[in-house]
Amino acid sequence: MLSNYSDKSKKPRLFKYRNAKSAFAMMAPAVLLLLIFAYIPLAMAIVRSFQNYTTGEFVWFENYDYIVKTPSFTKAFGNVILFTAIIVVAQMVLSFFFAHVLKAINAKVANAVKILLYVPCLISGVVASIIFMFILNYGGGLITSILIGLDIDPIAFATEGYWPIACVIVPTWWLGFGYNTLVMYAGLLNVPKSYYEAAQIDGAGFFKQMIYVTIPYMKNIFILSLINLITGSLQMLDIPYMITGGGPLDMTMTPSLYLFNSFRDVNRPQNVTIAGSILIMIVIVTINIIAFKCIHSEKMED
Amino acid sequence: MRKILALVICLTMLLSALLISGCTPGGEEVYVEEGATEIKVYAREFEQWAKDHLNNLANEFNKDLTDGIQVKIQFYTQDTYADALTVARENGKAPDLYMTTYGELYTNIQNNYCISIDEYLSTEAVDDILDVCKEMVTYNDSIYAYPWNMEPGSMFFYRKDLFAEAGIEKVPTSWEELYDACEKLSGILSRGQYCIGLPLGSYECTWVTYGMQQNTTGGLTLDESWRVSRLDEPGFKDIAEFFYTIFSNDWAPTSALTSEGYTYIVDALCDNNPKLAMTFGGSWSIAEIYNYTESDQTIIDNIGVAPIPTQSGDQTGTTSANGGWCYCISKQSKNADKAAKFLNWMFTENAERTAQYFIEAYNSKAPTSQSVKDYLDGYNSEVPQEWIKVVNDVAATGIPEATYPWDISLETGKIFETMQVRCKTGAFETLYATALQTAQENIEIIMSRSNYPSNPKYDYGD
Repeated sequence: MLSNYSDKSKKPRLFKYRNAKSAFAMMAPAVLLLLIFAYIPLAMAIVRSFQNYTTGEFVWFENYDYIVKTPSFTKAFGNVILFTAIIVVAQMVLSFFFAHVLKAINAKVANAVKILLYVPCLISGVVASIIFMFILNYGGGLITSILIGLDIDPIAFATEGYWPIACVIVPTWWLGFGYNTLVMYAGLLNVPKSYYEAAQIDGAGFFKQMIYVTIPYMKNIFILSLINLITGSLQMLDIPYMITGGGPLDMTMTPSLYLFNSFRDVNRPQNVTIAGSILIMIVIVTINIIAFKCIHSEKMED
Repeated sequence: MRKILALVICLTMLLSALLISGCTPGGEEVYVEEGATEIKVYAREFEQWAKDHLNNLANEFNKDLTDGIQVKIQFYTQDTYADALTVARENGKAPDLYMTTYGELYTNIQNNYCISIDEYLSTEAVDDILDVCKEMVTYNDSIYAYPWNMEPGSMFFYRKDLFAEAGIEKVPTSWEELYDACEKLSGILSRGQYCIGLPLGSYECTWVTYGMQQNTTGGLTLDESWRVSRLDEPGFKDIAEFFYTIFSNDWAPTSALTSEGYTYIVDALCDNNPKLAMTFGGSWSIAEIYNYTESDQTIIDNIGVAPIPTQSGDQTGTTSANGGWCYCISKQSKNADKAAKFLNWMFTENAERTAQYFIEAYNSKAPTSQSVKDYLDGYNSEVPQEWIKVVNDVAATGIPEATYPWDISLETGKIFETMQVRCKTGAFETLYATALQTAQENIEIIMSRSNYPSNPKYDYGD
């Protein structure tokens, strides 16, 4: 009987598709929603990125030419690559380190710490920005008040030196730290104890265990975190918008923020904004394809 | 239970009575004209009094139940206005009338968002519009919008009591005098207080300094052809040095002191213990002073208003660009003639009616027509006459904002912003050379766009 099922060539056609109607019926709402709200708008956006906004005439790459010849937009790409590099490294290293701490401490304390760590993940970027603005505001924020109380000149965090970059990166890191730590922690708990025991018998110390056991075993977790962090960082919008507005001198401008401002600028042809969005989408999709290829190859190896 | 039931019945009856009598609970009258054409107006939401004023105007217009027109105003905040217009246009449901700024009008024309209103304005109405306003709404010899108000974007506000305390006897008219005033003021101000508030960041430094650029260099970033950068003009370097001097001496705050930045910067001048002793501010700051201080005459008497100091000290020329708003009729409107009727009713038929807006605005905006200006000249306002004179004088010599791509103007703003945020990191000459080179390179990149526009008011001779 089993051999009959495994032999596809002998499977009756009617049997093969006997559940097709119900399957299509169940898939239909999801497909329909995806079509209406994702794929059709995407197709329309792609078409419009090749058109003149006013006349609808096809101008092909004119809108792309406009957006790549916009200095603030190209600078924003450079900025976001820098931010992504800093956030990814800081997030991965610190989350990995803190996950080890969580694993090592008493279970009850670890539970409490996990909750505390996860709370920022429940806060939206806008709310986090407001919290940081209360602290950093030049006109009367917490730090300004303390500094003036101590007879020290206040710091203009949003404009002075490299502070603006820190103003954008720290809240972004803070928001994602809990989630990434918990993901790493879950990954750590999944490493079989027998591996460590075998390594210990072979004379491996803490660092050798980490390099030869923990890190290889958690490779897929790292890749997952990496994809999330890179994709999230490339789409940074709310925090730079709220705290620095993209300034000073476009130092904290991100492509998403630029396009957001561009959409709200009635002076700018909206098809240029759409062309810019398509460009960002291409970059993010490319990164994701590369990352998924990596995961896929890892699975193949497994 | 019976009491609650009785209460509900009473409330229902009261509401019904209000509806039947044509009154909303807020006391606003509602006029219903059967079969009338609805003229939809999109308006930017400014202060509450301005919103009330426009609502009252529409209500007054709607009282006439025989003209076949009912006006409906929809207000949008600064954050949502552009989005609302874009979405409405995308859906083919653009409002019949909408507001836009003078700076944005040309883009509206280029994008076919609005139509010429020549045919809807009488010769008298056109002649009545002040020349300085007419220039801002005229393209290819056609008027495309009716100018609503003019707001000089850069004026000078100062505290008389702090001037007296610091021993400043004369209101600064030149940059040198301004530096002297800052020197004197810095001796009496405590930590957290600053001598002067200036526009911050490239965005503000762009549009607020249009007047300063015109006064110091004789033009703006590009020449009339929109093909040649004027940033090599020595005046731009002088303005950059002005910013460098102010910020390197810590005379101005490097971050906004008020939540709206430059828009309500004057608030920082109005407290009993003010954070600023002097500030640049738009003409709207006059209304803001009255609103913020709740018309506290003690503080108002302590505030002085003047044109901004210039490099030479001569304030008779241009010291500001004229911002402000105008009304356009949408290209998509199917009732342009009826929209124009409301437009004329608001602005061209009765100077007294139009002037009420400027009176309610504490004369913080300049009128756009001679008849309204004449009416206001004869009106006894609570605002000091010298303040009103400064607004009118600055507006009369004001220039329109640049209409070439904003990115280009912004590059000039970035030079000034560089002086603000980098003044502590290097010598002026080095900073300026780097900032200028970056700006010039960026301008060239922008100009190389395949769809870079031409100046509609320039004769290219081809």
